Amino acid sequence: MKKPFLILLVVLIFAFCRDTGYREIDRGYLVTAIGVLQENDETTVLIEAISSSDVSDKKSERVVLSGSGGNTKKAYNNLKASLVKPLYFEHLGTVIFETDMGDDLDLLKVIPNLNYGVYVVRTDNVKTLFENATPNGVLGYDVIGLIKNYNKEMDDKVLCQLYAVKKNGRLIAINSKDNRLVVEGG
Amino acid sequence: MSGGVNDYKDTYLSGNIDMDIALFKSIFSRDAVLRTREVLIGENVRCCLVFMDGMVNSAQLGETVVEALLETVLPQDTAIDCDYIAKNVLFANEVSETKALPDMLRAILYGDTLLIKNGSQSALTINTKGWRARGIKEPDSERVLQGPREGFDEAAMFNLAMIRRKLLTPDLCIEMMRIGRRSDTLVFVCYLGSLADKDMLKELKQRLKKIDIDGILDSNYIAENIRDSKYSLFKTMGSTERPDIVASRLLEGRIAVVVDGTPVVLTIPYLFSENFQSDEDYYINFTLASLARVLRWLCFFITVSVPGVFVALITHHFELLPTHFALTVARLRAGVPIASVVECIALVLAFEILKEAGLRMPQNLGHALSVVGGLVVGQAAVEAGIISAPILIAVAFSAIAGLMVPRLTGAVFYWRLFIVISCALLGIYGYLAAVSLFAIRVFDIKSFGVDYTETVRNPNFQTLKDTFIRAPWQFMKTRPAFNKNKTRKGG
Repeated sequence: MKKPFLILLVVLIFAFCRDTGYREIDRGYLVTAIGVLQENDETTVLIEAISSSDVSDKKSERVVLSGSGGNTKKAYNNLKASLVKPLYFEHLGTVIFETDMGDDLDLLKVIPNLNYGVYVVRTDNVKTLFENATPNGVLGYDVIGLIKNYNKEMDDKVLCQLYAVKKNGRLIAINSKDNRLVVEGG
Repeated sequence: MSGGVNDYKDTYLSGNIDMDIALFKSIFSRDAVLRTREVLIGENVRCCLVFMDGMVNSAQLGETVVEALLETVLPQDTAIDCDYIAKNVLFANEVSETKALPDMLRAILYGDTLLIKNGSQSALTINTKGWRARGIKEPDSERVLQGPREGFDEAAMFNLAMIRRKLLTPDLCIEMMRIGRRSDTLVFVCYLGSLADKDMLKELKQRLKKIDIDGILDSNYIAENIRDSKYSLFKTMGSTERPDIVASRLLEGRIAVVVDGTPVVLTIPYLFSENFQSDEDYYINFTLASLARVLRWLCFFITVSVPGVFVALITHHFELLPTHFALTVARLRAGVPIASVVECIALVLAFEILKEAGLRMPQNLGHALSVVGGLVVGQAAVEAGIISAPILIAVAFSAIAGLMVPRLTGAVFYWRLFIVISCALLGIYGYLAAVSLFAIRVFDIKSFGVDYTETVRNPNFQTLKDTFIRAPWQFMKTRPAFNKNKTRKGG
């Protein structure tokens, strides 16, 4: 048993020497929603995130970040390059596309650690949704709550998660009316 | 010259009492407590008593020895030698004759009185021991709510008597040896002749004979010298201060080592599952005992894993945390200047310092300092943003769980730190690797030829009945698996 013990120990020591992906949960932006829209012949990517304070006041705030570029990938890369903290997508709730854009899911391929349970929807005005504060303050999770309630109440259920969207190819529409989010169907 | 009694193994009494008295005085020339008392038996038989003041029972010495010698009337035509004095004069209950000077010195040093006679090269050692012992008291570290409350003290003879009271059988064997060049400490090996493994006994005695040390002041000196894995974090020899525990282990076929001068008795072999047994398990209802056992195993798992797994989740695997919890942790860690892993290690060390300080501080300061240390400092540190509440809670929970397995304190501390570092570097993969290392290490340990994880590696009802649970007594029919004599009742 001494040999397996020593071999495992040596392997561990070498493993410890590489970049192991260590991150601090409070030292980055926890992304909750992504929006993609087209304006002035450029694609704009909006990111809603929760950012922890850099001082010890135990506060965090909702921030909206934006980046533009020729296509969604360039817009996303320009956005990333302008940030001082990294983006963490593990708790991404929703991706919202503007209706006119069509179903361009290329952006989702460049996002690391993407969960296939992420909700993907479309809307007429992405910017309005991101800029107006929603009742609970986090757009990405409010959309999820909205769709779950809708499916609970209605017989005609809507399938919004990425694995379903990839199968059906159809994005469900949501919109903001009188400061409330509503589902407008497919 | 090793400084022990064996330095005088080639020296003998001359037979001239004045020279012999001078010999003892020269051996103990710098010892102010040696006493000599010359006695004349009859009209012309000169004797001298040699003893240590404070070690002998003065009243007993006076009544059974001095008075007996002074009042004796010697017959006319009989040779008065040591044998005659032993059989016909002395009132003492234990008298033996010896020619070896080391034996004479041992007797004096242990509280016996030596009687030397003019014209004789041998001397009598008379039992007059009167040194004070601490008395029977419940051991602080092994308290029980229900069950016997006796505990050993520093006198090996009294300890052996307590064991013998539990096992009223002539099958109880007690072998004596002396270890320590200068301390010449009495060490007794106890076992039940029909149950103990002969090979293990032979191995134990060989290892004890090989100990080469100046003095044995505690059983741990012996334990560290004879254990199998000398550098292992896990103890491979049992230790207890309770005679009922020693008796129960002897009945399981184990061997006990009783050391003079310490209340801690060692038992071998010692298995990993014994770290989760409590003395009280056999004195309370089996349902309660089983619950306590399961909790102890669970707490061991919690105490080594929780800090590391928590660090892995908040540094590598955010996706495994519920969303609201992840946001709460991120918010509560806002502004903390040190990395999670450093914070975790610092808190683990801080708890160990608090625990150690709690053991050493005077009792009247204990409560006040524990409030200051635990509540005020912890609360203040969180408020100041030096540490965060989630990690403090995880480490505190782990520390409290660790108190359920006190026999594994040392091992748990080191393995907990190693797991935290592995998790910080490799996440859950690091945890799995560290646990694998732990398992490989533990399964590799032996205790006097018996696998340390004997009861865990061969799981069946008979081995598990006293491992994860404590089965009712009607099912506890066999001895532990390492004992070749399995039957408990009869056989």
